[in-house]
Amino acid sequence: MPTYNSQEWQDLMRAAQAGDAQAYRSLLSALRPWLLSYFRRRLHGSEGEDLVQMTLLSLHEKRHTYNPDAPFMPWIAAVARHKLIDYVRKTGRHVHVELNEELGLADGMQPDLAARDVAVLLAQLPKDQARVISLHKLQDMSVDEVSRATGKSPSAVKVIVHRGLKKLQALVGVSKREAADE
Amino acid sequence: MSSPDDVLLDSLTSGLTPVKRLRSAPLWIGAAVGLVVALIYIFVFYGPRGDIVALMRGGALVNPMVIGKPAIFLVMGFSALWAVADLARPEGRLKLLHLLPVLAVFGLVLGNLLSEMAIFGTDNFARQLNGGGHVCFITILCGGMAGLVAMWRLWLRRTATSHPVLLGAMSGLAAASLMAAAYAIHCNMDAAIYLLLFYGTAVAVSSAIAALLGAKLLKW
Repeated sequence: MPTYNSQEWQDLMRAAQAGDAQAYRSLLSALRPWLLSYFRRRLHGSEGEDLVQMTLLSLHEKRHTYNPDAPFMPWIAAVARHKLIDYVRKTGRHVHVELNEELGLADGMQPDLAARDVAVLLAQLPKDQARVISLHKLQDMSVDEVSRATGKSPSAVKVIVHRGLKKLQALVGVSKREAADE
Repeated sequence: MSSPDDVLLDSLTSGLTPVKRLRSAPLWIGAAVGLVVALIYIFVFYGPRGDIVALMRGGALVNPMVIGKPAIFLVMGFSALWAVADLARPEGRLKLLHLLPVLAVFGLVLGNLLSEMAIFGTDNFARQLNGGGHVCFITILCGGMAGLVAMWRLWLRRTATSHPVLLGAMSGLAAASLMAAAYAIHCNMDAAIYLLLFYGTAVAVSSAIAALLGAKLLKW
């Protein structure tokens, strides 16, 4: 896992916005391995390099949208997520979605930011389906426990989880219409 | 020999100049200026409604809708602008709080409509709708679109949203709602059915057009 210091990156970005080329170069150099790791985790190892370059270009083009009073990590994570979704939409590729907050934590994000990635995904599903998946996959409840908590039969819980996960994969991977606004 | 990564970093960092940061203040100031321009336009070319003229001459406020109608569209317009300001950055997202004022206004007007229906039935609607609604519709829609174009030129094109459709829709909602607030100083049709059908449709159409434009123009 690439190591980083979010406060340092924030300071570098502020300096870059003020026109400090040296600080900007340090920031971009430091971001490269982080971005590569971010994309490789989600694309299972392939094609991360192209995405890193595209993301650095977008970062450059939109660097004025970073609010210097706000933390840097949510901003760069949102830029990376946006480019990833744009990429999979254009290429029609499937992305492996690990539905747990460890994925974001492994990228060095704070727990709330990692949880937000999962929440953004779950919000795409009907409320009932999202709740069942959340209980089963995030809170590690067994099918029987989820069944008792929701009043649904165990087989219904299994079907809901199966369909929900397939839908999430499609959302992040191939469905152009459903993912159009993310 | 330089690697492709070095070439990229060189090209991005060479000749770096300070950037003009995206701030929301110009959006709010622009919206306020646009509202004043719309008010002047409506005042000069359409004229104020009778009870506003009476108020200006020192008369009493008899009909609360003289103030209430512009106020509800101002609330909608500014809450939509708040959403626009928050959605403009990559990490921005829509919150329920952004939509609460819009939902409250919609609920208020719909509740009023249903209570009128319960008391008077639907026979009253024909009279309430007989007030040149097409002028209201076209004025609000065109004014909203003009506001949207100005917003695009001055601010929206510098944004980097993760939700282009939503940002577009909220921009259209804001521009058309503020135009409706300005137009309300002229129009004396206050019935809930009229507001829903002509004002509401104009605002909804403006939001839908802006959402479609957002999908194309706010991509990055």
